[in-house]
Amino acid sequence: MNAWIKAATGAALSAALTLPLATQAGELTFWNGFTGPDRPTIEAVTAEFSAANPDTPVAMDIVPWDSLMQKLLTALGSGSGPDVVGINFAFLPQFAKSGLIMDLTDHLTAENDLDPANWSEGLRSVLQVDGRYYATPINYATLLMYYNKDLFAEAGLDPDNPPATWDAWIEAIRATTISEGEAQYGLTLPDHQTIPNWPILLWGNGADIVVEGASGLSEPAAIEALELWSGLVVNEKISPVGLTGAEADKLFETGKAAMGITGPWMTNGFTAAGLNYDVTPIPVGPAGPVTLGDTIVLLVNKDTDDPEAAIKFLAHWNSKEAQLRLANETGFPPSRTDLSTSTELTNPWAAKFAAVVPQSRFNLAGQDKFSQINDDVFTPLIQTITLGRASVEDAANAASEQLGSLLQ
Amino acid sequence: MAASSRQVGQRGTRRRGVAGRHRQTVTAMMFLAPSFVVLAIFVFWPIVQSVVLSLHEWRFGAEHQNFVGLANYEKMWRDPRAWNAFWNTVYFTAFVVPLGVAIPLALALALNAAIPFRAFFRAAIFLPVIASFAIMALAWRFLLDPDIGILTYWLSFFGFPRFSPLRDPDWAMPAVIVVALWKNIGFNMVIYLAGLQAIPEELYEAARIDNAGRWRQFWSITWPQLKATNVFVFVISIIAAFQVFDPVFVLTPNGGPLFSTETLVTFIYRQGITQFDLSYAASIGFVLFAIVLVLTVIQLWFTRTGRE
Repeated sequence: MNAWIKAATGAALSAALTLPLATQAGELTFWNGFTGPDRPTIEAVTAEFSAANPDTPVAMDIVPWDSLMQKLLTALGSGSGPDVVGINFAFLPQFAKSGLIMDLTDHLTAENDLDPANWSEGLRSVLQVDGRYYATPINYATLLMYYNKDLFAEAGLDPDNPPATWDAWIEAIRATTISEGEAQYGLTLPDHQTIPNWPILLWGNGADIVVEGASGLSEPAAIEALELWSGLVVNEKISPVGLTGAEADKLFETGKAAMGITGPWMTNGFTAAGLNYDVTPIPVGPAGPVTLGDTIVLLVNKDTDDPEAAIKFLAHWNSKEAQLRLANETGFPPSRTDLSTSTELTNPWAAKFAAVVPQSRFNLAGQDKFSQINDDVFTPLIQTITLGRASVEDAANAASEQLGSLLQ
Repeated sequence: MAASSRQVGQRGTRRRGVAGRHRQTVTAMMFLAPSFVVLAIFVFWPIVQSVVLSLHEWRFGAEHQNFVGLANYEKMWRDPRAWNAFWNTVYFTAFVVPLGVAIPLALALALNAAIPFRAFFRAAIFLPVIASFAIMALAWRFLLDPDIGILTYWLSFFGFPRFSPLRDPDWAMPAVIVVALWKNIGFNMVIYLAGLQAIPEELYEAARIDNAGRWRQFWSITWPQLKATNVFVFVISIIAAFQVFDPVFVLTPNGGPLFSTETLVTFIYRQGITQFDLSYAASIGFVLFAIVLVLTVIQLWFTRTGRE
């Protein structure tokens, strides 16, 4: 008898413990990886939706991006995925082709406040796979060149007149690089676990990793750009080799690097570190002004119980109010082009990052083998040439061949 | 009559014996059942499933999964990255296992003797074992950073160039090995300490009476007496080394510079979790399982014949 009572108590207890975790009817589940300084804003914007839509409150689960990516595909595949999820645009083709997410094309209308005309052309292209829309943006990031004004002044450069062309840039990099004794680097060029830096250098010279569906790595413009920048790294030690994005940011934050290319998320950290710095558009290369664009996009689970509420949630993120709030609180430019010159855009950093939106490009947009191309081909190529393990031409040709077979 | 009654009696005993043994077996099975069910669901079934997975070209969300036979195993055979991961794993194991036995044994011998601050040293060496590797590896990454790391800064006073072993394809693996050893020697040391304390003191007394030196005592008493401990430590160390993941993954993400630290398990992770090629990952996983199984059987066989 006693045992039965114990068992019943145990069962009741475990049921009580699992109850709060179970999804309530009408609830919208939302997974994302905003664990950084932008988290409070993400939570606040989500809470606004729940307050305005009491019938479909949002249950949000924030985990680091890599953990999110690990469990997302299996969760969606086994039917236990969230209703809505935020991921980096680069993974979109993979998910769209898996058939596990909703085709949103017919829902993207001005009446739903999801008008594609409000997004830049580049953004529109990465939200589509084979001509159909599968995602809408949460945020938009562009990269600028950060520079340390004190190190500029020490090197005899004008801190209020940062370099605007590649020639002036290289001159400034050389002037701020000190290889004797306590090293100081003119620039940081991270090659892995980072927001892409090297592709911007290729674009600046009119090259790209993939050109019209084929490898562009052995094109003369690509080899020329790689030779120029890897030569500066190998021969003049302008940047350490093998940096991650976080290590590069740390070097800039500790005043050991004079310049670095990164996004709006670093302004808070650098300001808190008491650094005397500013941002400027990435100096213009022979092929004209360009920078990298990046976006976290929202996808809807194909099997969601409430597609209408999910679309409404997407529209909430795309609303003027949400986009302005995000921009003003996090320093990211708004993802809507109709807000980039808005007088309500009061965050000065956001305005600077918004100014380069028209010239921003997405790396490896639309490639469903994005991670293979980036991690298995491009990163090893950059490491090989910056370590001086092979000539740029040989390494680029070998990488190009490997890329060619991936793209087939 | 007497004979027949004895026969009956014997038969009765035998019957009771068989029934008793049967009942015992059933009882034993009942006791084993819960853990067997758990093992079956969480260990054996996934192993079977992973073999099935490795014979398909698995795509998420697909209605029908293509059966491809041994194509994934063939791909592995021809994949230089898979071979690179295999040789890196062998490299790691070749250093971590012998050093991970020799150093803890030396430490255990030293800390088994009455030396000052013995408890402190034991605790200090064991501490890394219970610390989280993710956090410890991050600390090591900072220590080894050539620009902001304290270790490289101190070494520079002794004329060492300030370079980052973790960013150098030739030095990344040795650095991972050093950190992995630092993390785990405490565990093996404790096992050896227990082994040493189980050796009867009389054996040493007898040896001393026979005028045996320290070296002779070690080879003739300590080493043979530690045989069971050695088998345990070797088997566990080899299995762990072949399945190394955390030190490599946290110290050198993305397989290290030019994949110089990519091991079999990090390669499986990359194929399966990052690139979603689950079938290929499953086939590598199964090969790793086979390698570890063969190594373990060989080791056990060797040590058993040694004892007989």
